[in-house]
Amino acid sequence: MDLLANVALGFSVALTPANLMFCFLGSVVGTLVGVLPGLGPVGAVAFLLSLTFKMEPASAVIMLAGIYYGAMYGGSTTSILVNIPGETASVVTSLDGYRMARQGRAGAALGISAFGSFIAGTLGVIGLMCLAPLLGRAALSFGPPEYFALTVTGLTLVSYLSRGSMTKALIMTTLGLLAGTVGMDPISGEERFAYGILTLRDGLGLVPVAMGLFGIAEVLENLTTVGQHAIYETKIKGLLPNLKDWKNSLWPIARGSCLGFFLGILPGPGPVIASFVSYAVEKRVSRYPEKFGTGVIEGVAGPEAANNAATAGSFIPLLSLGIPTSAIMALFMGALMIHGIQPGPLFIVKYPELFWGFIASMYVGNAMLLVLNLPLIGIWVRLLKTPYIILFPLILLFCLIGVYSLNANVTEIIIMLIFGVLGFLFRQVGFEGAPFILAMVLGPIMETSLRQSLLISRGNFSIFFTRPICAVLMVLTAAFLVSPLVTAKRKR
Amino acid sequence: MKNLRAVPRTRHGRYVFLVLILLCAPALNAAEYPTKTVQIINPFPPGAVTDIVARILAPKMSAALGQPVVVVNKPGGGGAVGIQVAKEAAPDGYTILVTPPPILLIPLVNKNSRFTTKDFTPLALATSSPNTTVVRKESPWKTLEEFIAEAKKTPGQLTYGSAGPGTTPHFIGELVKMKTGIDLTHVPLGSESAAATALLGGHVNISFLTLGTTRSHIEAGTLRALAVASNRRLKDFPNVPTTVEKGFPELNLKIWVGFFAPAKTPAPIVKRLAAVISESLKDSEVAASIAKSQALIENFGPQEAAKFLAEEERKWSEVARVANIAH
Repeated sequence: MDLLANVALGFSVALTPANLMFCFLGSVVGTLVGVLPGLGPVGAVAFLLSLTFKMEPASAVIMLAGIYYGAMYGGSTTSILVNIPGETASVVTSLDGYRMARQGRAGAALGISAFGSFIAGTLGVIGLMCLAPLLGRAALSFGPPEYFALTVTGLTLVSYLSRGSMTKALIMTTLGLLAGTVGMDPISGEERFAYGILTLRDGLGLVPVAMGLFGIAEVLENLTTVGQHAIYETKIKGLLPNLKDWKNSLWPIARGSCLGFFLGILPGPGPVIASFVSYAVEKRVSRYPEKFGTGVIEGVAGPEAANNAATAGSFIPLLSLGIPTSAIMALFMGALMIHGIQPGPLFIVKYPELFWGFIASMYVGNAMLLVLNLPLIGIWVRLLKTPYIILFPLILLFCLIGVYSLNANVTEIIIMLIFGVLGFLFRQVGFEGAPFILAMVLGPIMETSLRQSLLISRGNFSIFFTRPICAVLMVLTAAFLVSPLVTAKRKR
Repeated sequence: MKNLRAVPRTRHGRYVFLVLILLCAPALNAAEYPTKTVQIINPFPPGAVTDIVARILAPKMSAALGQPVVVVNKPGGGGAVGIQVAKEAAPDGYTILVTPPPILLIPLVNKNSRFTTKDFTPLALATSSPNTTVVRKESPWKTLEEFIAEAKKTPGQLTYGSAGPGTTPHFIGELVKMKTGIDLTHVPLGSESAAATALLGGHVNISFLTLGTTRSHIEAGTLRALAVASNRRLKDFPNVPTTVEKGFPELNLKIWVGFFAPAKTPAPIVKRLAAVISESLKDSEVAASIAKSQALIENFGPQEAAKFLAEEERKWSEVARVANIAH
């Protein structure tokens, strides 16, 4: 069979000693980058890009890809341990993961996120192998109207992200949408709410805001309670997920992997959205949705699987069409272009050893990461015993370094600190950060795609209902919104 | 002993001496230049064409200068953040800028822009990438004439995608409208690759993108090039007509990458840097790498670059005015 021959070719490239080493190196760096808050895969790949100029093209992409999916593995660690997302795609993980840690189940949470990531990563790679060319073309049928419909669907997820008051969640959503309008108008280029500050012309950065709302706010909140009670309420129970955890996590991992893979294909912050969607889906299908947010393992397993599968999916447009759908994919494109290899529709045919070698290396890398991450769990959990008085200045320091490392821009540090204080105040009055982040991710895509669609249709709103994919999404959204009303009535 | 005292003793004399030293300082620096790392500021993210060109040149420049040359990425504001950082850097030759047309376009679009080309001295126009006029494979237009004819029949109905308001593809789109007398609706899509994606999906009708973005699609046949902006046909695409043969010599556009120093950089240092860049561009290894990155070497020196840029500025100012892009 053709596929088997290709896979064999791939492994023959991926398993050379040099490439194994680069794969390992990438995975280790990626894990580190993921664990350190703020410092995301984009920064790390950018930093190492110039090193790859002298390398073989296959080794270059193998190492850089290792950093990317390694960061997705590592990103959950700080989310779970100290409620600080290592990168934006791990914001959702903190909702239940951190609660689990506080109940002494950090090991189980970290374990399931490592296994979940491994399973999702592997499934994602299989998907990439079998479906890449097909799905790449399918992704093209998503134009501005489809993106608009998708964001409308996305916003309905807010109802699943709040633990407490729905009203408060909606207020946070609105604020998030407003925060998303800061910066250059995507259509006219006019400045909005930038007040002459150059950094704000690009809008509020997702990373500084998320780090502030979650990381800094968390530190501030703990400072007010430190000394009154211990950070961790109970003893640490076990380092790995038990049988019950596994049973509860299996389906969330499977669903998260599928969702993540397909959402990853679409341009934009795929892994972030995938993790939010997965969380919402798990809460929707759960028999105990009210327990989400109190430390349910499904809330960790699903989103973690989703963001890892999304990393595999996000390579599809680049490898099958030569279209970089995010900043990190643009870096990969740069890494290939510097070697005179241009990703495009003919990439797989012209450079089979590169394409299949790269995919095979992702299998290898995922296995390496699992082996690498499991022993680390013990160390991470022990880290929790560090007195908070020592831990918090360190966390603060890493947040500062991490945000600065993004663009070497001091303004972004200030943004993070402002949102840290805001996040602290929000928490004091029971407002949560997750709906804000979701709205801030979706808001700009929503606005841009709405206005692009109306430009294309010359102001005619029927464009959102006459295109098939778009119409289906709109109907789904309506069903999504109405169904809880119907079930609630029936219960009564 | 008395004769050996070099510093005049009177208080007044000491100040005179100090002033003399300060006056000499730039000249002394120029003679010794460089004594430390030279930074090239790239106002775009890593992997962008400016980043690639600068990183290809950096090792050669470093060898010629005898000091490390590093590329520092300062992305943001469509290039505005990094360009401003370079403008505010000390004009001592240790901070230079690599940038494509936005250095010229941003001040035309944004009246609040805190820099103009007058804040910089060109060192070199290093490379360029030809612009391509592309439609998707499934579209009915086989030639530029067919497209123009259709657009004339349905003014404003057809759409063109750009990388965003005030970006190069937007300016080119407006220039095309001016020179061909057609009316197209502008759909800003956020980046060149987003514009290519929307075009491939059939969500917009036409786009004016760099060859770097469109090449693989033209080769694969998923996009059809109606014209390439160039004097001569491209070696790799002998079947694609040029804008010049199609009768639009004004649409012979280059998407260039230039090197600049802050305006007050001493002339000897400017000369030195310009010579080093020019020499590096002649290196065969550099030439091979640049060819691989889909760019063409221009290698204009400071005077030639300044002349070219003045012409560019004239052309784009007119587009900004007629199309009312500025706000």
